[in-house]
Order: sequence, then structure tokens, then C-alpha cells
Amino acid sequence: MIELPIVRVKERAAEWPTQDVTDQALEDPYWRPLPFVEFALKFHGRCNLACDYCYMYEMADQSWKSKPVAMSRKTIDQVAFRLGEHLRAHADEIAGASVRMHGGEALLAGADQFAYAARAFRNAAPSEVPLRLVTTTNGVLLSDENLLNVLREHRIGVTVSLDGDREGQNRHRKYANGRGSYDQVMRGIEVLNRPDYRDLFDLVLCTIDLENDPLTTYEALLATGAPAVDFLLPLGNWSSPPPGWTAGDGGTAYADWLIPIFERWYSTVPLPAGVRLFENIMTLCLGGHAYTEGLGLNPFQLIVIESDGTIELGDALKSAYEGAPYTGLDVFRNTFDDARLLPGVVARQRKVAGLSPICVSCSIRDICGAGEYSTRYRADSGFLNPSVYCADLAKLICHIRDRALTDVERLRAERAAAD
Amino acid sequence: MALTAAAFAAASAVGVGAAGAASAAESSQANLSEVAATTDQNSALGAVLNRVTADDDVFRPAGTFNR
Repeated sequence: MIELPIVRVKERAAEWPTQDVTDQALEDPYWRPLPFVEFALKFHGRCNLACDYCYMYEMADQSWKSKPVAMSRKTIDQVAFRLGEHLRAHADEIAGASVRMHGGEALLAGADQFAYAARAFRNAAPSEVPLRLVTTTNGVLLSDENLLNVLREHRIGVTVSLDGDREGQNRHRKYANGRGSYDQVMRGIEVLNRPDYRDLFDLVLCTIDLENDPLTTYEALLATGAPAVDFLLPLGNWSSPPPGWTAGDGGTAYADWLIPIFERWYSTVPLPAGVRLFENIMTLCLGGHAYTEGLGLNPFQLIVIESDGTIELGDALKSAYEGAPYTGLDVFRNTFDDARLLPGVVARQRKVAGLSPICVSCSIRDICGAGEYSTRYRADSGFLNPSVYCADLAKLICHIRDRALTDVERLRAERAAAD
Repeated sequence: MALTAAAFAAASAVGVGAAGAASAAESSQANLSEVAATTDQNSALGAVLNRVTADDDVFRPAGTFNR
């Protein structure tokens, strides 16, 4: 069943990143391969929703069809073994690690499987490496208190995907019969907000839909009570542009959608919730480090383990082409160290050396970082391109940068005048 | 290729227009801690300035996984 990705990957052998990327990195005296610190598990391979934009089921890579429905306990045990092995070997290089139990819809795995996996991963991790367990869910099953009790017992943080208000959520996030999921998800969020579970709630994650009003969407996300909100640009690339993408005609539809939200958020005191995208842009503009993929030049140290134990590259690559995340490695035969020199891993840890010439010469490259990796893809040239969101990112970043730095300068001047 | 050229042109126009702000950022770095102390801690700017100046070295997952 894995022959198809192998063939497709070979067809892409000439596309960047090729083996040359690794060879050049190894010749660089200032570069060394980094350990993985984020492990995303395909804990359950199926979903109880049928969102029409889903990168796993609806986009280029269809490898989910050949994978087990759920990760078995044998595979969980082997992942735990490899996790412990990797974290012990690199304990002095890392400040912590996370395991994200993901899907499909991860909560379909059930309470017992979450408890089993959490125990396995915590027991495997060395005590000197703080291990964070998290899950991402569509929220449909969050009203199951048996499940929430297990998440609480094992300190598993929860990210909920939500596209906004009822209209926004139900446009794409539907059951297979076409019925919208908003009511059921909001019931789940109401339970998650109860005092017993409130501390589990990490983030609400919204994929931008230009058809939705931005401020209505933002207010709906805030109304969930989540401590933090994040916005995701829809997956797309130069060969398959995102929906409503207008940069080909000089437009910046996604920046224009986000800027009013930034202004509302930035101007609201006290701050109702963090917005990860905006906070990370501001942090980078002020000389700090970003903590999100898709911005900045921090090395990306994440690996995916599929439900059958195969080791894959970042999940979003499924939007680029069939077999794009494929590595040929699996946790039964390979260590995580075996994946560290794969060109697709090295390319995302090379900072400026991993950017296209256009990005290298750009004045905001250290903030933009060429955007989310999968959005740089173009058939024939691979991932050595700016993001398909180049114009949108530039406009958004410059808007936020100018807004924040103007205020910093003003505050600095006021302080100087007072002294 | 036409799509690429138009998008890059738009991005470049924005970037050049804001070039002055970059030097402002550099000149501000040394004073960020002082500015953070005078900023409303409940504001977006205050929260971010605190994060930048704290340099806490706490591990934070970077992956953005929708479902």
C-alpha cells in the first residue's frame, strides 16, 4: 500500500529540497542537526466531520486511505520508546518537548486510549525534560465528561478548531450529511469552560475564510472564553492558490481581512485574549523569538508519526502533492535521529540559507521567514520560493510593525521627557 | 509566473514603504525593558514587551495544527 507515495516522491526528486541541501548543511561549520522537540501523532486516522477544506482528506495527499483507523497500543508503546530514546539522547540540547495527539479527530480514540498513551509518554520521557501533552480537536466530543476527566487527570491541553460564528463554522465544518457542527461544538466548549476543565483550554484555532466578516469572526472566537486565539491562513501554494487569493492581481485579501482584527485586538484594554499570530509578529518586530511555524527563522523541530507508526514530515505538506510528507522511515525500524538529516527536515532548520533568493534580499525576511513552509510550494521548483501569501504577509507585518514601533517610540519619548 | 511577479511586486512596495520603522526597532532595543515598565500591562503591547524582555527560555510548541 505504500508503493504509491514512493513512486510519487521519486518523481519529485529534482525539486527542492534535494540531497544537496543536507550535503551543504553538513559542510557548514556553523550548522548542526537539531533534535525534534514536537511530536505530532495521528492518534486517530478518521474524523466525525467532513470539512471541505481538510488537508488530510480533501487535498493532494490521500495516503490516509491506506493507514489504520486508529493508532494501536503496540504502536503507541513503540512511539513512547522512540520518544524516550530521543529525549534522553538530546536532553542537554532542549528546554522541553510536546506530544500532540492529533487526527483525524483525536478524541475518537476514546478516554482509555488517551489515558494509556499519556502514561506511556510520561513514563518514557526523562525527568529532566518537561513534557507537554496536548490534543487538537474539532470539539464535537468535548461534552463527554468522561473524556475530559481523563484529559484533566493526565494534564492534556486542548486546542479547539472553530471557524467563527454559526454561519462561519457551518459553511465548511459540517458532518458528512451536510449538517453544520456549530451547535455541538459550542456545547462541548461550554463543558470545557466549566471550572473542573477550564485549565485544559489552551487555544481556539480559526482557519480564515474570506467570506466571513473578520470582526464578527473574531468576536465569536473571543466568546468561547479561550485564553488564546490563533488564525491560520488556508493551505495553498503557487500551483494551487488558496481560495480568494488576490495577490496575482496585486491584491492582499488576507491581510485586508486580518488588519481590522489586529486593530480591534491591539486597541482593547484589558486584552481579552492573546492572538498568537499578532503576538508573534510583534515579538519578532521587537527583537524577540516567535513561537509558531510560519513566521520568523527559528528552526522547525517537529516530526509526525502516522497511525501505522510511519514517520512523516509536517502535516501541512499533504496540501502540496501526493506523498509530500513521506520519509520511508517508521518507529519500528528507525530512530527519530534517522530523520534528522532528511532534506525536508534540514531545509527548515537552515534559517536564511533555507530561503529563496527573493526572500534573502527582503527587508522583512527575519519576521516573515518566507511564511508557512507548505505555502512556498510550486510544482517543478519545490519549496524554494516565497510563500504564496508573500504580499499578504508583507502588508500585515508592516502594518503591525509600524503600529507597535510607533507606540514604543512614543512611550520612550514620554519616559525621556519625564526623567 | 505572472502570478508570482505581481505578488512579489505588491510585497516589495509595502516593504520599502516601511523601511524607516526597521531602524526605529534597532534604536529601541536597548530601551525595551524601560518601556515595558511604563506600558499598561493589560495591553497587547505591554504583554508582548514583557515576553520579549523576559527571555524566559520556556519551551512553547510551534506547530499549528488545525483539525
